[in-house]
Amino acid sequence: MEKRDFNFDNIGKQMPYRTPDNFLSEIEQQAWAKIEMQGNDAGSRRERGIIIGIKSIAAVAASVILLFSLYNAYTKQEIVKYDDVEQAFLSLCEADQDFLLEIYAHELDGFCE
Amino acid sequence: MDAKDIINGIKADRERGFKMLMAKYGEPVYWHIRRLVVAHADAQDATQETFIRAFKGIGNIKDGGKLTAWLYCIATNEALRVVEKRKTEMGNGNEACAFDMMADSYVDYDNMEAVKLQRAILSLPRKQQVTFNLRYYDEMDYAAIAEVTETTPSGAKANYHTAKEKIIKYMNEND
Repeated sequence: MEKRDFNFDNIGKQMPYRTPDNFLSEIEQQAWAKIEMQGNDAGSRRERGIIIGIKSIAAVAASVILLFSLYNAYTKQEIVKYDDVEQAFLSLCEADQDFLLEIYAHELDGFCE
Repeated sequence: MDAKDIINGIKADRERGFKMLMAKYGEPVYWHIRRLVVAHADAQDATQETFIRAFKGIGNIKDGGKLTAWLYCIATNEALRVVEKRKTEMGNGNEACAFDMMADSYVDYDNMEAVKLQRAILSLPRKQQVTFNLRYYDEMDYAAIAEVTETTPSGAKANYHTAKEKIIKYMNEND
């Protein structure tokens, strides 16, 4: 068999590959459509992120305000508690005061037994 | 139109800049990918992904002169990713997989010498394959090839000559 001597010059840059018509413009259009879509997705993701951030900050602020209000209300109530009770007790008629004291004494007895 | 014009074009008008990028590099990048993946549909997908990734990252390029090598680097990675995917799907060895891909409907079997040359190229190790294609078909200089293939210019030159010798041997031995 005759030995071949391959020479690149004979074939050059020939390739056996074919392409459909307008394949490049198709690639360009599809790639651009994906870029636009991903860009919009990224935009809406950013917007969603901003909204979630604002909501989180608002929730934290509301929690702080609520805690602060509860703390204030609680401590204030503690301060006035005994005065209020005393005031209420003194405003009762003598018979009611005796009745309450009797119940109180009775409760204490029950507790100590 | 050079790389700087494209980068500035994208900054000024995204869509117009993208069209400029495609106009300059669309066809050579497609063919670079096609030579590696063989099937047109795979080449089409990998080319799309290449330009999407390139468009997203182009703002980070400081030196416009590096655009070509950078783009070919992305294209090569995309093409090799597709080849690996096909290889896994087919469960074949490297060479057998390449030959299976030659069954694509967009391969012209009338030119058997050209088919054989592509088979010879596809039988090479990946780095030699990429190096040979970039030098032989794209006429890229060794410095740029070295950037794409992550080697030195002398390493790229050695790879090219080794690839060329192997192809000649393949062409002479396989009739």
